[in-house]
Amino acid sequence: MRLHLHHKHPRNTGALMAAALMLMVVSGIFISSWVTLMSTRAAQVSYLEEISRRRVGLESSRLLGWQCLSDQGFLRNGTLPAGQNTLLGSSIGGFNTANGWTNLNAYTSTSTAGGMSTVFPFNHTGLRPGASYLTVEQLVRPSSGTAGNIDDYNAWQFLKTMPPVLSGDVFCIYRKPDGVVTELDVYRSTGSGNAGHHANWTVEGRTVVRHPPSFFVSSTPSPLQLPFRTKSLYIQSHAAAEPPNIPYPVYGTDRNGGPLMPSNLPVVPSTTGPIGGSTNSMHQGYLKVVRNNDNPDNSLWHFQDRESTAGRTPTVTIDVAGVFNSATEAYWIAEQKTPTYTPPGWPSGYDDKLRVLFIKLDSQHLKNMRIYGVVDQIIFVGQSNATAFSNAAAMKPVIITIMPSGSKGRWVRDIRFERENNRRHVLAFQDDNGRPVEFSWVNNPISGTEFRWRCVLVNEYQSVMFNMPSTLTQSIRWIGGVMTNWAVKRRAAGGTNPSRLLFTGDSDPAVPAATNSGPAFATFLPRDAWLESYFLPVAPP
Amino acid sequence: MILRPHIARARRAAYTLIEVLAAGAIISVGTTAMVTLSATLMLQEELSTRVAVTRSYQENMVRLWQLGLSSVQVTAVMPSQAQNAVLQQAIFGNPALVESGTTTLNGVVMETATCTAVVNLSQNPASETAGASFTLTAVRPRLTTTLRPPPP
Repeated sequence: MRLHLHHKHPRNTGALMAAALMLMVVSGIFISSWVTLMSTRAAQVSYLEEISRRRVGLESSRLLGWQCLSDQGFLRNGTLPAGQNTLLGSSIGGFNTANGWTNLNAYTSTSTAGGMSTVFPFNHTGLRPGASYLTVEQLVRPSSGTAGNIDDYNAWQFLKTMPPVLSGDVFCIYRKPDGVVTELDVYRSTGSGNAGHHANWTVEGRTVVRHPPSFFVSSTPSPLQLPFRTKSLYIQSHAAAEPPNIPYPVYGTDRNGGPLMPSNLPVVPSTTGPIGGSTNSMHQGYLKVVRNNDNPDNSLWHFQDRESTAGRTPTVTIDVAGVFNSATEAYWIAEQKTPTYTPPGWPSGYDDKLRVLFIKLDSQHLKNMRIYGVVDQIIFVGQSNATAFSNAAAMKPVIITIMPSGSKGRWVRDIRFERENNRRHVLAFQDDNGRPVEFSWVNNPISGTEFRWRCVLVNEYQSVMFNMPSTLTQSIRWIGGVMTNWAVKRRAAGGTNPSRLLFTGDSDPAVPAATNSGPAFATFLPRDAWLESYFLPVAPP
Repeated sequence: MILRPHIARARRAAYTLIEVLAAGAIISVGTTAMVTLSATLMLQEELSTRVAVTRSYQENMVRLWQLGLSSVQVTAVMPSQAQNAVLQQAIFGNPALVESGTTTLNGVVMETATCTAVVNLSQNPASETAGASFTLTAVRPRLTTTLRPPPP
């Protein structure tokens, strides 16, 4: 018994001690873990400010690069030296121009995404549907010693251009000219007969509105429904937070006559190029492409010069209205005391004879033309049979510009389209007073009842009035698209059936899909340009 | 003769008063240290949370402004401090987003803004005590603002 008790007591004491020690060890581990966790949390929080600053700085760098390329990437002969830093401040943001660029002319690019050696991970199509020409520039982070605590990055800047009418933007409405107080009218119904006009037609493609405020004056209904029917409506709005107070609400009409909501996705600013004044104005939705000395790379007038200089197509200037005829020209001028096609209002406002310019569109002698308001009427003579019509699609495109004689001088008031035309050409009007020009179709279609007229219409501040054929069963198919910054309307005398006047793209299957000879048609057309920026982190070395 | 071993065992099994007091003192010191450490860590954790909340709020204000909102719109979009006890507890006063005009760098015009926020140190919900102040400086493109149509 004694031995038993003697041995039992120390064993209990040892077990208790061991338990106490274990408890202390566990407690120690727990407390150490807690302290470590709290220390880590404290360390993490102590870095939060630095992390916030770095993240904001990186975003500031991205936005700085975007603004720089938006401002300077679309200037003519833009140059930024290699390795130049633009720095907001250490750890605040900045960029370096990497290899820089010299004489950058984005509007003359003919590179496509398919020609790039590496496109991954960049988007082939990008922000807009269809193919586009592009120029790629790169911005990088300045050296870490200069940039401060900003993550390393590569900012790839894709400067893209494309004629909108070739990308499905069949009816493009730009910002109205500055200083004009009346509305850009593509929606009102006014009067009746030959004096009245309305906006009932159908756009077989996208209608693009660059500047909704141009539609609005005090009498404009809000929301405004554009009455012409269209496949889709795209509004380039940059409002920061629209609903519930949309400042200039616009919606369209679908092809069944029902209301059509505009696509309301965020959009990237686009531009037809510098137009004089500050660089900011070039993104404001203006159309200045007929004769723009500030951006010859996107000016029809200068395209004519380019073609002439290259020896491809000379340019003819019509600034004298004498009777003219030549076997080596595609045009002739006649003076008619009794007009073949009586213009509206004749003879009021005219001289005693009508000066008429005839242009034969499928002539091999047809050149680029600059026509001033020395003539009263232009008759575009189309093709006379189906074979000629088919062959015309393969002919070289031409550019025809029409302007008044001097500032607010005489202007071409009447345009007649005879039969049908399949030769690609650009018909560009530029006026300084918004005066009307009447479009009418004469003679008969080659076959059927539809006048197919292949032409891209560019209209700067001229009121274009479409007159329907007098035969009610005949209709008009304008193939190529419209770019306008002023009124395009349809005379009320032709009724209101929207299917009598169709606007379609150049790829319309209603005409043969032959490719034209000479340079690509896209090089004869004004382009829109926009920036797509891809901002990517660089993996640490 | 029979008791001796018992007495001897009893003496060996007991602790002296000194031993007990020493042990008690050690345990007291340890416990006190642990409680103090706990209190400090809990306070630190509380402050860490407040700093994290304040800085996150501040950064989000800046990012919204960089996305194109005005300072008034940013204030309207951010959660209201008056209706959020966590924000009220964490932030001293109202974080200020100040649009400070434009800056031009190599011909590039950018809009600038600063956002300052101060952490609240007070442990009394009824009052606020200013803690660490931190200012973020940010820029955004001028172009986006100029493209927005003014209201009719």
